Amino acid sequence: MTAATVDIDHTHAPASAGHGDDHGHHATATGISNEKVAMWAFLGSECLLFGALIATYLVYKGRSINGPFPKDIYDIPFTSASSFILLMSSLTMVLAVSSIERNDHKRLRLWLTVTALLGASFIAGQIYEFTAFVREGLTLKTNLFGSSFFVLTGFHGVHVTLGILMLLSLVNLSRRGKITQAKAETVEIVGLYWHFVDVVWIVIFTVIYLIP
Amino acid sequence: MSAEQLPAHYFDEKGEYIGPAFTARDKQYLKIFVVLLMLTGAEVGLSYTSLETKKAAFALPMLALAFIKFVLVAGYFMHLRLDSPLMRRLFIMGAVLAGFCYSAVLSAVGQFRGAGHWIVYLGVALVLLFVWVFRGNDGVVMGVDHGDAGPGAH
Repeated sequence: MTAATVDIDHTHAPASAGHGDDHGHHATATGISNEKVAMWAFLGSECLLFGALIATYLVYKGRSINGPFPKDIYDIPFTSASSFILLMSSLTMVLAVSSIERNDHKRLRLWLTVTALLGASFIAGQIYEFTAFVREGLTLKTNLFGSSFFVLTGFHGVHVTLGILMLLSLVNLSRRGKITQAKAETVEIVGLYWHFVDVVWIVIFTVIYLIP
Repeated sequence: MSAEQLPAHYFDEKGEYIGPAFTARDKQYLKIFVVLLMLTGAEVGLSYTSLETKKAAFALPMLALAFIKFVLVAGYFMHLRLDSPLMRRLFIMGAVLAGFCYSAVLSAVGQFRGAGHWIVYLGVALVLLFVWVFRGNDGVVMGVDHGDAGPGAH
């Protein structure tokens, strides 16, 4: 068995230092790429957004005058399966980041596609859940619980959908050879967003579905 | 951190591409995923026993389990524990601010009345724990430390 080798040390600037750092970005005062800092700042602000939506749900959920109420319609086994799918997508995403760091484009595309498919399965489950709730008589306008529930989970669903679009864009860019090992950070940044969506779901699943 | 020459691609005797094996780091991700699954299973199991348990007593272990899952995903999958302190602070600032701000709001509207004030105390304790878990560790940036990576590592 023979092995090709690749230098994966990112600590030293490449020969072209001065024009950019090891990730192909321009040098910054902090030594950290602006894109990554921006993503972390964005995720920090997203904590506040989802915090507000979760707090609103908690305030309103016990104040509905007419049903259906949470205990009447939640399907815990089904939502648990959805949570499992989203957790698994986090694993495949981190494997995609790992692949591009090793310059393995084939596996990068494989894991990105699997992540997108798992995300799409989660969204399909959410659409099914929403449809079932509407059939049971819970809509956005039915009561305070319905309004806050659909807004919270709907916002999360929109985030997942945007994440899927980002993943598919990465797959497309990779196919066209535009994601090199030097640009692995692009995949990592999308990965950060995807994991954040998973982290938010961890909180939503526990606080909204599991705690009565 | 020293540069490493790690095998990137493997070929069989005929020269056919096989691809890299899973690295030690990938195996660690897999272990974390299994732990996450077990924690989720424990959460779901607890939710089914909730009918026989008091609400507040039930909520506490659930929140603790969710917190552990949160820390595992943020720390390992998002590499927060290895990433630059600046990014860590940006995220923690948002999470802590959100935690305090909305706990105060919920407390103000009497959301914690039934459970007493100890859910708030737990929230504060979890936030402090979160800050402690991701403290320090300066100078190690994600994507740099591949000391445990590569098929040759195991």
